Amino acid sequence: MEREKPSKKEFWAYFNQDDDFYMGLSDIGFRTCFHARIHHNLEIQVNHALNTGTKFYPKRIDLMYHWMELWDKKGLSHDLPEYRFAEQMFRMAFAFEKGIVTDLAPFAPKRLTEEEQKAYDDVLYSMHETHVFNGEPVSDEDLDAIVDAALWAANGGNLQPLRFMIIHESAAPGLFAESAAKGAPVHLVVCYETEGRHALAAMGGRKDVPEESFFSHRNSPLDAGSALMNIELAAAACGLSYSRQTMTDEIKARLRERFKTPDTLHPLYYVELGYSDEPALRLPRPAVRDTVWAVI
Amino acid sequence: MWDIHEKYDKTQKPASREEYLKLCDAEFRAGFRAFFYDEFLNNVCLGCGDLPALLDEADCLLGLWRERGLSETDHDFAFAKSLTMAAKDKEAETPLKSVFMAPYVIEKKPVTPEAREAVMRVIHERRSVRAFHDKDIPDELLAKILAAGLNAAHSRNLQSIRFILVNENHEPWVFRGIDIPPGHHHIAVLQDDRCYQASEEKDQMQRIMDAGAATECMLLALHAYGVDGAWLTYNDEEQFPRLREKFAIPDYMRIVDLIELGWGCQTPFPPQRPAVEERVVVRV
Repeated sequence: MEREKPSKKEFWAYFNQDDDFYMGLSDIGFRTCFHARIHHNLEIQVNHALNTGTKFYPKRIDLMYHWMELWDKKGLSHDLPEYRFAEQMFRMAFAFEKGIVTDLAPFAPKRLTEEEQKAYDDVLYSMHETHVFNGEPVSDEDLDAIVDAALWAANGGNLQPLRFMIIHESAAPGLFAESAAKGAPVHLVVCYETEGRHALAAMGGRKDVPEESFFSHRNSPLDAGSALMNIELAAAACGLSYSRQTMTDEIKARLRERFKTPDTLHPLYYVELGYSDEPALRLPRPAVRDTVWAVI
Repeated sequence: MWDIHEKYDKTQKPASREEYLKLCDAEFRAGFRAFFYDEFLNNVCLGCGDLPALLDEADCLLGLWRERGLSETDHDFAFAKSLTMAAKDKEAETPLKSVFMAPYVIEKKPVTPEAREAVMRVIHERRSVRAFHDKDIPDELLAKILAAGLNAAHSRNLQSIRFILVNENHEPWVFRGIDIPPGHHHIAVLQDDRCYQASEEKDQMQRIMDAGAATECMLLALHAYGVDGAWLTYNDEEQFPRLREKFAIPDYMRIVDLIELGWGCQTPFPPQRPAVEERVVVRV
């Protein structure tokens, strides 16, 4: 589709940098900037427009469409999730410009029935950590389902900064010797990848940002905790036992040496996965009434 | 300043009765939880560590609890007492099989394919909804959503999560400054930082992860129970002073994130996610 092209000056003014800057980014850096812009400058506006009829800022779509051209200039696949999402947002935005309000009903999720809600609660409220595993192996299908669940966890702007290592104890004996849980056949390491954050910081003109601040502050630990929730819930749904473990400097060093990981990949924690014969222990939790600071 | 910016060093846990007595009740309770739900429980389950020394520490902490006049019907105290008795139980094959642990042991039932499918569907189909009908969510349902948040993964079961629940019609625009129109209800997630101050690892990253897990668990619950919402963080430095003043939030209570929720009036195009094989960087 032919669109009016924004001038270099307009694009720079709106997105802080020009084409040369974005072409110079790594693929993951570009994808991160691309999705951040689609999320903040199109997704929220398109959905708001469809709900309220609010018109867009006149040049918004043209400015945003230039990102699609940059994607192609970069030679990235149209099958990647950032492009698929952007393409749908543009489809709805173009239609809206022509006075057509896209019917969102076909995207409606299938809600749980009352019976399914009960089944959901049964899994949620039977979740428990374990301490001793029996060594029984975990299927690749279950491991993939657990990582997939982690990828579906809510994360800031859907920028997807997390990476995973699936390490079978048999392939790397002793790598996790400090683990407080014993006998797990699989260790799932959750890492934070900062390459995308570096690109976002550069896009905003921020230089010399300490590496640690990319993964230890603001949204990053929230993303990591959100993924942990889904990992544990999915593991429970697969009938597996699990135990979350704190990452130590020693294990980080071993992982770096063994797998030659880049400096931008930061292991945050790991989850021991397997089966257990240990009795399932439900730790008591506080009552809701004792945790509500204020209600209005 | 975002409330989670601050970072501080690790310190040692209280080493003596006198040091425990110096703590305020909230810090003492947190130290008590860290010991019983983590250190003591791990060592008892694994049958390792210096059990006599751990039992001495357990008895000391139980005594300090009583000395401080804290309630002996409290759930943490009840668990700690049971676990200590189980660890001393010579009749039991293992401490977790002791009769004293029976109230905390749940039946391990196989997960049915239907239950697995229900969980995976909620995980995969949840999405951010940012437009809501002007209609209240019943209090019982709101309580169920908060209960789910309290059930989330939480380091050492430190129980740091607190909530502020606001109906937009009762207090309009109190959360102004967020970048979407207000939801019908707001759940502000707070954390009692004293839980971490008293812990061996005053780890801010761990603390925020606990909030992230609780928030995700509530977002999943929203979707599972048929309502909608979106997760937000605060981007306006004016918001913190306003919220602290409005709700009399003390410094030790951290304001972390926010869920806007209600009966959704829109079903946005679902987010797209990367493939598992792209994001697994090591598989051995």
